[in-house]
Amino acid sequence: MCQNRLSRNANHCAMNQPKPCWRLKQIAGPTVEIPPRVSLVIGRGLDSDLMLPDAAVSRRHARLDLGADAMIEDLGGPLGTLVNGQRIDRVQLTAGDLITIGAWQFALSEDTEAGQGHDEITVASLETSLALPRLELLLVFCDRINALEREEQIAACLLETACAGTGFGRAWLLERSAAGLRSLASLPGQADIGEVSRQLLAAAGRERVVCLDHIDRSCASDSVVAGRISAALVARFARQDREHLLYLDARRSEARPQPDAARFCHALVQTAGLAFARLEQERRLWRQREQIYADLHDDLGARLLNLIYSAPSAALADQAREMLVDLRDVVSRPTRDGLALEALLAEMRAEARQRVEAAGALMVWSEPEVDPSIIWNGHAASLLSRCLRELISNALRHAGPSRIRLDWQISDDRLLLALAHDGCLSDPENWQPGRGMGNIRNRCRQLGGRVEWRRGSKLLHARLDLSLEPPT
Amino acid sequence: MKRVLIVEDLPFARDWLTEGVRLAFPGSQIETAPDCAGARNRLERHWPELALVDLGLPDGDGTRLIAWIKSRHAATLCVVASTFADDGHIFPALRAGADGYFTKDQGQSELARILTEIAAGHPPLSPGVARRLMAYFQHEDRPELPLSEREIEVLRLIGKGFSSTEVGRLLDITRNTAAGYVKDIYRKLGINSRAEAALKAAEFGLLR
Repeated sequence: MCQNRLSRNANHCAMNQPKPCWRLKQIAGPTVEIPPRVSLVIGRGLDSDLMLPDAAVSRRHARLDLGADAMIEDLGGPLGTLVNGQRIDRVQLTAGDLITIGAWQFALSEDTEAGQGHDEITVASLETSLALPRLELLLVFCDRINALEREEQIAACLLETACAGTGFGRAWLLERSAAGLRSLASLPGQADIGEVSRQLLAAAGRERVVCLDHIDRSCASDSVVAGRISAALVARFARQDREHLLYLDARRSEARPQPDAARFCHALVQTAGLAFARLEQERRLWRQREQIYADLHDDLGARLLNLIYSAPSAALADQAREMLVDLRDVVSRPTRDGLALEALLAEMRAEARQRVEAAGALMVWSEPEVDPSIIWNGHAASLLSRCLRELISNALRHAGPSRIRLDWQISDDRLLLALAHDGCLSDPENWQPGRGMGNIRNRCRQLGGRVEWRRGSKLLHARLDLSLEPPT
Repeated sequence: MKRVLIVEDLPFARDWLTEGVRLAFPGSQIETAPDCAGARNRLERHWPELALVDLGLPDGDGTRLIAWIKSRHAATLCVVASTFADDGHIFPALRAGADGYFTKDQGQSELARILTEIAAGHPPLSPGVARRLMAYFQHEDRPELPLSEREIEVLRLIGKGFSSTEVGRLLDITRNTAAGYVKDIYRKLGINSRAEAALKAAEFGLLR
């Protein structure tokens, strides 16, 4: 193959053909070399002028004539040749036509820019479909950034994916505002922001994606020559009042970027924009929530404290105290990460013991080994601790027990609590409303389970049967 | 305790704290301040032996006031008077050098008992705060002043919800000894982070 290419190149030189009047540009498919010839045979065969190495392509697949009139002719293979999506036998082409053969796509344009002295900035075509590997990368990217919680992580993931998917060697995430241009992240890290092309950035003010494509040394600007840059691309996206730019470039020694790089980057920045917006929204909600909690903490907390101090009876003070502790559960446990069930049990145990002992009773508590990886969300944790608080209040208030026993068990995917106490017992069927039974039932239901009370000969039993991993 | 300073903005809570201090330390001289500025004013005249500090003060947060007191007069016992005593608020205060904490929803005699215990070197420790302490000291970035095996064991058990009496029984030590370990852990935390806390108090989101 190597030898063949050499011989073909030798051929070109020997024939010294006239230059074609049209320019053929690859848009999709594995990068191939397009020789500057007026007449091209396209095919899989080693003797083709434009070789497309894929078994589905015929050896001699199509003939392209780029003289004064551009013509294409399908040479009769089963796969066929498409022009602008239509299968053709032989047609005349005009500028802007898209030729598709298997995985490859080429766009035809008139060759008008020979000898221009500045970098050629083009608005990238976003019509090109993505090659499968890029599509997969994009899906992985979507998956990853949706799980990320910090802006730097999203930026790093964006740059990494942009380089991996396009073949560009360097990447920046830039922010452009009235204050100027600022680098938010770069790959490799600390890459010099002075090396990005201002001309390209200026062009990116108007279009979503612009490229400096396959710059020929002869027509490159000084900065591009100095940076040994062979291609660059900018994709733009807006974030609130700011503008963000994904800037990629490749140096002469590096591989050429993929032909669908523009489309790929456009999809990347759109997705990244959504992820940034999600973070922003989460932060806003979180701030709002924190503010509400702080207000609850200060206002309601202070009023309940006042109630406790000024309550005319110990029972009323107790009730206010219980409300305060409930409030603490609600305002202090809105953690994003949830709470390990193990830690929740420890907290409940310490609180229960304090209350039971303060009432002059003895508490016995047993619990199994709890898998530390079982995490309860803040809401579920708050439901369970309030259930338990209410059960213990009922026992202390109505039975005056000398002993309360709490046995926790884990069985398959259930969390079980058997609570038993002695004292002055009454039949659960005769309990008056106001004991919070409805609340306890309701909370147990929300925790994927139920509660039952039963009076034995000497003990009153309450039994909770809950889901070990409660619904969120 | 001869001289006690109470920093609390709610008048009824201030009265309640004053009563608790009277009960715990009869004959002590009690001064009160409704905010950080008032507290500094009084502190410039005398250093109290005990300061009870609310965390959410109108002109700043109590954690920084504690760091300020501890950096100037480490001998003053600083105790946090909190509405909730949740670990998210207590831990930063302990890092700033607080010697103990309690919730303000107690009965008068219970408060007196807690204050006497803290003064006697038996600081309280909830499971949530114990877990935070454990995570803090076991972080690989903090090799300085590591905890002893016994201290780690005490933290682990308290983190599981055991009382210091139960911890003593499980480790075959007295309740006093168990409490002594807790006090040492507090001290190590305070020494480790006092300077840091004074500078960085804002980082913990403390601050209501």
